[in-house]
Amino acid sequence: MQRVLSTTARYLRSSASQPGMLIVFTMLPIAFSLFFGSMFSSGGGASTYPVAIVASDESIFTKDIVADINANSKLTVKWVSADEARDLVSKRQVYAAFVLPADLEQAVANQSPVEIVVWREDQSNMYISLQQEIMKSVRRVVSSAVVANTFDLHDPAAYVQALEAFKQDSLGVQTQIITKTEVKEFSDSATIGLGMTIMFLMMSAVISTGVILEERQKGTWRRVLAAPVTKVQVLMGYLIGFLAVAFLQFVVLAVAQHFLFKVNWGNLWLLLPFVVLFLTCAMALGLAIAGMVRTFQQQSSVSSLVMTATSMLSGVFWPIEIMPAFMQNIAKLMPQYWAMQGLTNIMLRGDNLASLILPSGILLGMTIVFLTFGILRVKFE
Amino acid sequence: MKALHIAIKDLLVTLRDWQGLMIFLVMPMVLIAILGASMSSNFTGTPKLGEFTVALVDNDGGELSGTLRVVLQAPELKSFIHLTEMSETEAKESIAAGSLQVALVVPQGFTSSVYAGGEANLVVLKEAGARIRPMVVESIANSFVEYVSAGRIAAQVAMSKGMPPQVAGLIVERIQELSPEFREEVAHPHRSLLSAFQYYAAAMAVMFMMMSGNVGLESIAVEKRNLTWDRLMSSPTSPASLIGGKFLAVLLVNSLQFIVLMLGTSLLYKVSWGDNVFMVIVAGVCYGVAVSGLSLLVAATIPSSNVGLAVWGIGVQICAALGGSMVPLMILPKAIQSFARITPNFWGLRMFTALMGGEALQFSYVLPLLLIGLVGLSIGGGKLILAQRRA
Repeated sequence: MQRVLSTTARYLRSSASQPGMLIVFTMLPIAFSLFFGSMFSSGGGASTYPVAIVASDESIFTKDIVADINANSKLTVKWVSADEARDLVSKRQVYAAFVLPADLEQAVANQSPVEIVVWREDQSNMYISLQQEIMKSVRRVVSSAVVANTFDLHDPAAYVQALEAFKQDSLGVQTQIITKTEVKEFSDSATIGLGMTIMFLMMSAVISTGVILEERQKGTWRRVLAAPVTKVQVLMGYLIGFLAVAFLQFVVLAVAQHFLFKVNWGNLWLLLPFVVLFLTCAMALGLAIAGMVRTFQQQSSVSSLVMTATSMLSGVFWPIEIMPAFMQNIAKLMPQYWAMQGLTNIMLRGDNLASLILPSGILLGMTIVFLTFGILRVKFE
Repeated sequence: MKALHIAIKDLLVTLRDWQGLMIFLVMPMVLIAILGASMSSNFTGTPKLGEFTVALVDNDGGELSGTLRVVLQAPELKSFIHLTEMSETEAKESIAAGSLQVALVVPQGFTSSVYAGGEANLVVLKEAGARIRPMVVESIANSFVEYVSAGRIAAQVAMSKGMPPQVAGLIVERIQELSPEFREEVAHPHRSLLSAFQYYAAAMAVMFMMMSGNVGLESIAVEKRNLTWDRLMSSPTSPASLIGGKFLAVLLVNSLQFIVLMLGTSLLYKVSWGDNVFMVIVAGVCYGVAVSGLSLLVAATIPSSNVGLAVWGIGVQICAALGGSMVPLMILPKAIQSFARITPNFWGLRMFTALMGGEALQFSYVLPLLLIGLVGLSIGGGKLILAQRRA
């Protein structure tokens, strides 16, 4: 053990003496938190969707739709002209633009269907939700007009009364999330934020293992091996050192996000061991990659690619749901997928050890496979 | 001319090594394959939700839950919703066990509560983490509830006017006929709607090309370690040609990769990158200029090659995220949205998606990229030359 730890100590001393590395491992997590921590701050709450709406008609119906949409907390609305709306959509500053018809009053009076034009740039999943919200407001007004028209064609009060009745009506849809324990979930942006955090931590953990190859390139391996230690002892010593640095990096990131954006990381007694396990798995993967390439430089490019590919597969970039069923099963072979499951359970579902058994077990299994492969493959000469 | 020789030498060094070749040409294909498998269920370029199961839990047993059952089996929903019925406990257990994603519960007394004018809610039960499918079910439930609401309001008004409540039925029918229609158009008349496949193909290309900027860092690091850097610097080759050569090498690798990515996605998966292939390649080269400049800048400002590579690896991810490859930028704070403009990814992604949408290559996207490249080249190159003179 002492032999293992002396390698660790040597690695830590040499990285501490390289100020650049220290900066990388503290400044980058802080920069990362600054940029993307805000995605977490909406935590368990509902996210609001930026949309642009063009309302050129000045009738009472349009005004009522506008008022109703403005009262909707799910939408952040920019009321703009048609040209501005096109611009906002193509600059991707809103998910979509909705154009209320210019002849809305006539359409409602003639009882012809109201057509709303939607402008969007690409197919985003948020769209279903958005359309539903706009639909609700337009329908209220149209329905009120229908009710009023049926009974009192010429009485504006009837319309107002009906609209009020629609707004007040206490029928609705509630959504519950079913888990084995509690019922909470991340907003979409927090989910993406968590995915990116995992990718970030994993990336730097994987890259850090390249040091092993660098030593070999420099020829210092032979000297180390001349000492009375085994290959496994040296590698273990390194891994503990990498783990210490990666863990420090996580702590910096977690503390920064906690203080800057009030991110609640959940029970630390569950969080910290799980993070250590995840980082160990990432480092074992790095070691496995080191076993397949020759130079430090190759290790860093292969790692980048492996990280990108596995992140694509595990749903960091797009929701897993849009992938075909067999791809969704492949996602379950990726460490990121399980890290995501575990961290979500810890951060949202509190002290529930049972929900961590599967993610931890699988990560542990992956760690053992990667580690074995790495130890067997990494050559010392 | 010498710069070109150096660039070609670097390119050959990269390509001769089979592992290098793999990284630079085979990996793009692997990424394309993953992208293709994730995005296309039938190669049309549009991800499909597929058919999914919705469990109806009828605790009400009333007239309205019966109507809801009919709505859920309507022909237009039948094509993607497979309806099954179970008890609430069963539904909750199946969701918790992961065998069901979404259930729609009609609570006990729903119908009578609606008729009595009281409060009533349909309940959607969903699996944690499932988003899109529950959203579809919520949308159906909302629409249903709105009609029910219209019906009872109409009935109330009818009663107050002394008309028979049956009028309400006619009103609901009328409202259904007048349901707002959404017609999708492309924001810019001369653009076409991008598929998710197109968008992610551009996003991944931008990220991937940035990643391979480490070729520049590596080749300089290797020359320095082998001490060939000093020899080159003291040879009759001017330092400017040397720096230019390194710059060109990254640019060559990047352009080559872009062409592989573009051809691969368009031939294998029919991803359209734009009408004018030549312009698309020019765009790819402009993006490569920005990446090459940045890689020189990082190589010059970070003396230790390990630190440089680590910064590059992690920096690529941060830039990709800032540029919109991972998250829609609009959900980030304003200040960060503005900050994102210093990344090549921001401009590159916009440039490629505009081309895909059928626009011409726009100078307003090309200029920032060339500027980033130029700034990187001059500061990075200048620093490298100065460092050599001091030594």
